[in-house]
Amino acid sequence: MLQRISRRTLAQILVVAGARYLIAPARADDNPSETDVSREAILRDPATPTTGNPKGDLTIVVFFDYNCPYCKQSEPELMRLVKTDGRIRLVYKDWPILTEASIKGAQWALAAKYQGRYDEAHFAMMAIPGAKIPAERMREAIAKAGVDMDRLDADLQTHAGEITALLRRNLAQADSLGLQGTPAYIVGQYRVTSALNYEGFKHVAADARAHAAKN
Amino acid sequence: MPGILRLSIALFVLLGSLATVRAETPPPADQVFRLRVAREDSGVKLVWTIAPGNYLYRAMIVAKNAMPPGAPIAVRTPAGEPKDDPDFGPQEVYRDTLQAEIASVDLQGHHEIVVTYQGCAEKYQICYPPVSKTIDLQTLAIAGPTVADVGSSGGRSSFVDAPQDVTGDADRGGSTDASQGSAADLSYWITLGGMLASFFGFGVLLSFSPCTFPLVPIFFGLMARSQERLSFGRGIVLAATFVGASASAYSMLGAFAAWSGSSANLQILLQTPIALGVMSAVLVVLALSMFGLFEIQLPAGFVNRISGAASRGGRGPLAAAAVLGFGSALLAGPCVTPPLATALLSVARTGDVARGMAALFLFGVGMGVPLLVFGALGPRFLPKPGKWLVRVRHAFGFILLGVAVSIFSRVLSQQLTLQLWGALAMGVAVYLGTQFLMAHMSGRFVSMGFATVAMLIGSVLLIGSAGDDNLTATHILDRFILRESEPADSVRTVRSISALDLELAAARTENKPIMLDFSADWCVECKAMDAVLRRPDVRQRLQGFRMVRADVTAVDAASRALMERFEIVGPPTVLLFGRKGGSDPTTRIVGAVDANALLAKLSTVVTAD
Repeated sequence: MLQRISRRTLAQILVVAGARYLIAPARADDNPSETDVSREAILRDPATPTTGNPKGDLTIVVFFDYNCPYCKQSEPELMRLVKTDGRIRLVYKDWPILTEASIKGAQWALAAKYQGRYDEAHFAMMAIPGAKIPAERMREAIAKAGVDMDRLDADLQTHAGEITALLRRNLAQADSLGLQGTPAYIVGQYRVTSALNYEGFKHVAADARAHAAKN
Repeated sequence: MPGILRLSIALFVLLGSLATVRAETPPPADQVFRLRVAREDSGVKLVWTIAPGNYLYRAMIVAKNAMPPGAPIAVRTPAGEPKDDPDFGPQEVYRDTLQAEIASVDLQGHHEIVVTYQGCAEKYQICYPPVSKTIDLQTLAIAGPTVADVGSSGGRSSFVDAPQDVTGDADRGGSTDASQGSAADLSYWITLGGMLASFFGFGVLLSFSPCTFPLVPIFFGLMARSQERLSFGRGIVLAATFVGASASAYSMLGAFAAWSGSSANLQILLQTPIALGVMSAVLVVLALSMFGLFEIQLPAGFVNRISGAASRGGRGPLAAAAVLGFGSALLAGPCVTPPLATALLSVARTGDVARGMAALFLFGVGMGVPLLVFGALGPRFLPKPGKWLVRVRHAFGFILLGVAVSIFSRVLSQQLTLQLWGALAMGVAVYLGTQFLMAHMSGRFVSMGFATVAMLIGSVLLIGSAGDDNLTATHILDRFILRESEPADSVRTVRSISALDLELAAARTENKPIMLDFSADWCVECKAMDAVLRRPDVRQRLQGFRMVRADVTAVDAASRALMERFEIVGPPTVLLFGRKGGSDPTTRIVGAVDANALLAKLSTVVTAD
């Protein structure tokens, strides 16, 4: 009797363990964009606009939206640090999640990159204070900043695929980082989920550098 | 085993929330802004409870008919607190609570409305994406996506949260708080004891999750290998060696994490082809010895040096148990990584090597508790060694080969993985077939049946992987005939609202009509719809469309949100957006339809522009 029971038990264990094994690998590979959200992609996506010192020892990544007042408020503080520090590489992740106009703004800014005027378009839109800026006002601001609008529209048509792909990657990266809202930053190996002022950015940057030196 | 799954999910959530509390990540918008609805004589009252430190924008509160969304419905909101910060422009905001009203006059003709609202968190100085809720005006039930449930995926990232003192309030800037760290000794020990106990507890809980299944066959394989019947003591010693070794492996991870201050490095380091290859090779060797090809006996000198004094029963099994326990903890249990990473992360934050090692060691012991119980009691239930034990050993041989394949498959191509599985299934079929021919027991036809099933599975796997790594098996036919080439469709697959918005916006810039089709792997009707979409005439017509597929296979907040965005009951549903249309669909097709019906709808959309 004992023998029969244990044989069956063993067989059950066998089946369960075996079945788990057959099922698990089949489900494992569901996310096609694993490389798109890798650390490398977040820090060094070649399509992403950057500023500051390209050879800097510290990379700061900023996830922002053109209709996010806190982003606009904290950006000059961050830029001040990038300037005074001189060894920071700043990566812009357009992350349009707040309004429909935000998406437009992000598309225009990225299209302006093709005429080398991302910064102009970016700062023009970031300089409009407020939270519900319509797309038209963003467009006016970009035009005023010296961006060739005909070329911009042409580039937006020609490079629509690349721009969308980049925004898509940014979205996926923000998701993978568990970000809840704008702005958010990556400073060295730190994730910062709130807007900071100059002192705050300086402090995190120093911490990130100290941490990097330890390893 | 739904129970086990549920348990492990609960554990993940628990560990995840622990991490959230530590990291002071902003909570999701849905937790910050809570909406209630009540009926009144004059209409419908909307009441928001706003968590302290957060506010809603007056200008961002919008109500629309759910389907089809038309002009905004007037929402009567009280005057808000002016927020006249120069950076914010003139905005009115609400804090703590907000009562708004929609008059019954404005609700006439509506059955369901969607209310959208948006706000920011002053504490974190961030703004949340808009939240949309669908309100059924009959029942006043609120359905609504939480804004994508992204918090849980934070564990995947290799970035850690900046220490509290750094991020605090932006106003405080870089002020540091040095008052911590001078805790009394007693409370230190209480905390330490509590931490160790909870790590042990987590380990025990995790041991019931599917993640530890790889360890089970490896361990049982070890036990079945020993020739003579295992005594109680011997079983315990074997189990303890195995568990102790795997716990040491974890404590090593803990030490590494505490020392390096980051979590997953070593785990990632170990997921290399070489490490996984070595582990698979060890398992294959063990499997072969199960088949009786040879007996594993480590060189006596080596064994003696490790174990010191000699003892009865031979040291081979113990050494094997130690090696396998250590190796399998590091390499075989990959899906332990998310909770393990959380545990490691908390150790990494403290940076205390001794505590980290102790905590992770207990974590490993906790995970090994069921194995210890099995080791002690298992041998009792095993009958005397005999012919059947040989068969069990063979079975474990196959299982170990399976574990080896599944471990090594992490670095192999899909095709090769499938071929290995196919070969294994074929091996099982051959083995069982031989059993049928050679054994004259009563159950021999059962084994023939299993052999057939195994052969079928093996054939499917081998044939399926015959083409190339895209697993389009019939590509192999291209070597024999020239087939009509099928144009590659550019269908974008989205799984979240934000991704969908992006696709829609992108299509706008291309000035194309859009076909948005909701589909899921588990949906049978969708397969019928897919067949329609594959027809040449339909494809031809769809050339002018931008095609977006909303994949709602996963049953989670993101897929619910996607469906609720356009009030989709379920897949298959196709939404068509005209070229000049706004963000709302012009036509919807619910359920699977035939090609003619679909083509007719496509035509109306194209001609409407």
